[in-house]
Amino acid sequence: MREILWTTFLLSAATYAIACFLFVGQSRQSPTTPRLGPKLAPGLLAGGAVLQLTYLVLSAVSDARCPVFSLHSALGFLSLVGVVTYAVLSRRRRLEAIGGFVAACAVLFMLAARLIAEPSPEPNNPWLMAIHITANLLGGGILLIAGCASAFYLWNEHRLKSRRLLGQGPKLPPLEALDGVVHRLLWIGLPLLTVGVLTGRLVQQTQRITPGGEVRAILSTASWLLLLGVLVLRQTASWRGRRPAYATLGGAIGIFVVIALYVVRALLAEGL
Amino acid sequence: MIVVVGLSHRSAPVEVRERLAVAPSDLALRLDELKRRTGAGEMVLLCTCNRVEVMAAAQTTGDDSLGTLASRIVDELEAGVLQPEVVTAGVASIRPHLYVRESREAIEHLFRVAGSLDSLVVGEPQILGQLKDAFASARAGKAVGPWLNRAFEHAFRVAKRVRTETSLGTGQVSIPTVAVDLAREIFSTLAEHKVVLVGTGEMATLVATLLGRAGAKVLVVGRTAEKARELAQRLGAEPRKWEDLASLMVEADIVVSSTSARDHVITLDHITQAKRQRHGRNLFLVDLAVPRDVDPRVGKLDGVFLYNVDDLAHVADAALADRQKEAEKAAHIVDEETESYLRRAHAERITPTLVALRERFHSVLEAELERSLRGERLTLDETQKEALRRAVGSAVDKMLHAPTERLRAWAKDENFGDWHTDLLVSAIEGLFQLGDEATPAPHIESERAKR
Repeated sequence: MREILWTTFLLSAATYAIACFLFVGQSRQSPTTPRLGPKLAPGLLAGGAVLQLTYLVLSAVSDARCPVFSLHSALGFLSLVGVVTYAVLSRRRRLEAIGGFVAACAVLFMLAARLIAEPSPEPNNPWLMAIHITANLLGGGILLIAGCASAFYLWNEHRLKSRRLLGQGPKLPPLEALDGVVHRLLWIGLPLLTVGVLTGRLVQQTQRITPGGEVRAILSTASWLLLLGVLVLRQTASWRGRRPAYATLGGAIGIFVVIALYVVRALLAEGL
Repeated sequence: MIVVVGLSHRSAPVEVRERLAVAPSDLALRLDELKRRTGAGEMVLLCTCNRVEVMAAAQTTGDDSLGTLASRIVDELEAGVLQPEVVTAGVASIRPHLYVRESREAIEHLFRVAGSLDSLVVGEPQILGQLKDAFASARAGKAVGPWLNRAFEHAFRVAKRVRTETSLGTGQVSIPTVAVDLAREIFSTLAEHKVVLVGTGEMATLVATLLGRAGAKVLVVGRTAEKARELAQRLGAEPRKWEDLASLMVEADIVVSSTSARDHVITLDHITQAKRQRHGRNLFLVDLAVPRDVDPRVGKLDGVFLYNVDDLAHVADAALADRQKEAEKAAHIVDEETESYLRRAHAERITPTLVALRERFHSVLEAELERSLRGERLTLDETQKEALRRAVGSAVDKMLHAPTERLRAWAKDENFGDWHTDLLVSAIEGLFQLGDEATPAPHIESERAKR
């Protein structure tokens, strides 16, 4: 079983890595030259996702426990959410540059998860915890992609504003497409994160909270509030452009830091 | 030979170029004024958004006269002959931005311009049409003579060769295509977006046409309602009133402007007011006019992307890096054609001398023949006399055929050199006294003395 798990893990990581190179290659091609395997990179990304899902299911079966209770599996699911979100969004949109970034993040998360191989202890209230972690994983994964799209928005906006950098570097997605993607992702990701934050408050009431846990809770609530503010202003005051992109990126960075703190805590617990 | 004086995107930024820009309607008037003031024999005025150039030939031959003419043109341009209504006092001099090309350099420059090698976007096709229009306008104003006529006709042939023998014009990266590509970087799809075309400039019309083909809805506004309506009809677009321009800034997603107005047509006030009602939508402004139509401060606003001709050219330059080989081929053609033109011009320098030589021979022999016919009291009828005249004329032609051909061949030979040609011309003119019409041929003079 361990050999099968190891093989699917390696195959998944390798497939993501190849997809990442292909996406980057595509985004750097000039519009006049024929595109390098236009369907190959998304295909490989999808293949990597299937392999990763297989790996995660097999790991859960092998450990005989719910995968969300292990940070190792949770990180894997987080990257899977990101990949699936991108796959859905990239249909009929020119988002190759983001594809490369998503694939690279998937590989990174998988490798980080490998370092945290030990499962966490069983929680007091497994159902509440399962809902809390699942909502956070889905919401966090989707909002991380929103943050990534915002970063690309700011990059492309800077290129277009400065005028002199155009024609160099990768072909970035159009501003309007990126803005639309961020808007949709906020609408989908924020309700999920809201569930995650609310269930998190309940979990805090039933479990002993460490000082590190308090920092994570404050940071995740602040990120949630920031993203909520962006969504409300976008909806009510037609807030578009550079400033909401910065705010969304800030919210996504907050979520990323919370995840990083989990990983660091797990690594420290393992003596790394 | 000819001289070229001017400035272009290579020597001057748009802020300087717009100070020399001439509206198409004023072109003939300004050309006439400049030609009169400088005393040029021939003159063509080329005025596009990327260059203002004066091509001229002196009334007299010689390098000195060309240099004098060039400095007179520079002085007049500096004095503001092209824009007499604009106050130049206290404004920085344009002289450092002006270039002067004479003789061979002028011909090479003209060929490079015609071949689109000196364009903002190398290979763009509009420049040839603009050059032809400038030439036609000068010809209509009787400002073109043999020098410019020959140079321009050859330049048009060079442009044709560049088009057919290189792929510089294929897979076109031009100002209009760059503008459309940039629009695609801002808007994911151009369908359902509104494009407002302000003015009826050629390049702006091209941009609007391409955007229209991509599915955008085009609206046309112009200060002359009739012109705007005609253009809208031609583009399958919707004409709008000039007074609606401010409100169109709310509707528009893309604005392409190219008017010949001297002041900003789209002001900062227009856009800041429109932004309040635009609900955060991005606005892409393409300013193809020189002088610029859009206040440059507009480009600093959030969600507003302003590009003028220079900005578009910088983008195009990066895209053109892989077409460098084709540009090199085209440059080789220009070099070849410059040599060929100069050889022909060189060979033609000897033509007036050869014509004069033939005339001198014919006139001398005819005079001798007439004198003989009268003096010897020959009883020949008119038919016989005519036959005799023809025989003598034919003999002269045959005698001069070989030396004429040899002289032409030498003049065409690039190894022969200018100095040798000049020496040869001087020698022939001196030996046969061709330059002096009043002096009869030496042997006639001696005959008279004998008598």
